[in-house]
Parts: sequence; C-alpha cells; structure tokens
Amino acid sequence: MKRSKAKQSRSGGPLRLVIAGGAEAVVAAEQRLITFLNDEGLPEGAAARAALLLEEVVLNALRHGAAPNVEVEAQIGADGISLVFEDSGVAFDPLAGEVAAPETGAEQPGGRGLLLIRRFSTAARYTRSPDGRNRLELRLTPG
Amino acid sequence: MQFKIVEIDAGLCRVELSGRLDAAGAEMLDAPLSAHFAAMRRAVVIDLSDVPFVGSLGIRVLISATRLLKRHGQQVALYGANAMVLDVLHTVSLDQLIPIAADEASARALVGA
Repeated sequence: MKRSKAKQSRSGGPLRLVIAGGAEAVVAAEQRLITFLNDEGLPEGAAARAALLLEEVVLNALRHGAAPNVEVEAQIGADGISLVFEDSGVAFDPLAGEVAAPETGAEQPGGRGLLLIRRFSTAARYTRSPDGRNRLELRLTPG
Repeated sequence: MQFKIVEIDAGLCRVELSGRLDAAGAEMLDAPLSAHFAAMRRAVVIDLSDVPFVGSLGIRVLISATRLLKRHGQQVALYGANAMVLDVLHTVSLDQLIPIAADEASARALVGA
C-alpha cells in the first residue's frame, strides 16, 4: 500500500460532505467523491463502486428516512476505502433482514439499493446513536 | 443522460443510451423514454455501451419503461454493458426481467429479430 501512503501524505485528510436536497445534489456529491478518489490514485472501478454506494445510501436516507441531510466522510486506509454516513432520519439498518426479489420489489423503494449496498461493500456496520442518529460504516476494496 | 432511437427495420428499433444513469440521469430519462416505449410497436434492443454507471433508480427506470413495451407484446433486450454496470444489473437480478446480451447481434437474437 505504498501508493496510498504517498497519496495520503500529499493530500492529507478525509473528504467530508453534507448532502441535502434531490437527485442533483446527490449526483454532485458523487462527482466530488469520484474526484477525491481519483486524486488519491484509485482506479475508476473503485471510484464508481464508491459512488454507487453513496447514491444508494444517501437517497434512501433523504427519500425514505426523511433525513434533513446526510453527512458523508470518505477516506482511504491501508485496507481500502472507508465511507461513513450519518443522518438524523428514521432509524433504518440497511444491513438487517432479507431483501425482496426484484420482481416483487419493482415498485418498492430501496429493495434493489439494499442489494447493491451489500454487494459492493466488503465490510459494513450500522449503529443507531442514543441521540437518534443513523451511522453506517462501509468499506470497499481499493482495486 | 440522452437517448437516441434508431429504426432498424419494420419490426426492430435500437435505443442508444448515453451518459450516467445515476439518480439525476434516471429522473431525466424516465418520462421521455416511457413516452416513447408506450407508443412503440417494435421489438427493442437497448445499447448500454455508452453508459458508464447505473444505480438503482436507473434500473427502476429501465424496468418501468420496458414494462410498457411488454404490455403491447414487444420483446426487449439489453446489451453492451461494461463490467461494473453488468455487475450491478446481475446483483439485482435484472436479467430475470430483461434479457441481457453481450452484443447487438445476440440481443437481436434474444428479441427474435
């Protein structure tokens, strides 16, 4: 992981975003995340997977969780990309329970998004804080 | 997000999508694509080779638009997806709803054209 060390010393800390609004705002945040990861030297595929996770998690929180905004922190460590999402919306653990098949879930919000979150993250942890905030930590491989 | 409809013959059209099918792209594509597909009386092959990214909203648009085609008995197939997009489509088992081919010739074969 020589490369990421060198990049970290060059660019420093994590990327922090606060996302509120509709699809345009979410896509603008995706673009900032992709730029951040590209600047860190990560390949296009990893950046695209990270953008996909951001889109699924943030849209879920804003549209179905009634969160006023979602805070995102992205950073690169020795074991890959870390994405942390926090919001004050309805308590929702995207890692819990079964996800519906696509046909039955066709008009059901979130079903396919949850499948994608599980597929494209290599490790995931959800916690609900005592002060009523969702916190979702996802990791994905840098390659 | 843009699309172009190319009439191949009396029974077949190719729909060329271009751009990111992210949340914003999906919202942009939804109404116009559905309007075209509701009026379409040909089989359709959808070219994804110029679509670098697809999210779950994009998949929902593909499903709802192609459902309009199937309602009138028209066949539809997708082709040309890049590796990441293909991974996304398979993860949500989209191929159970819309056949996915590697190239245009295979997609045409799938829709019987």
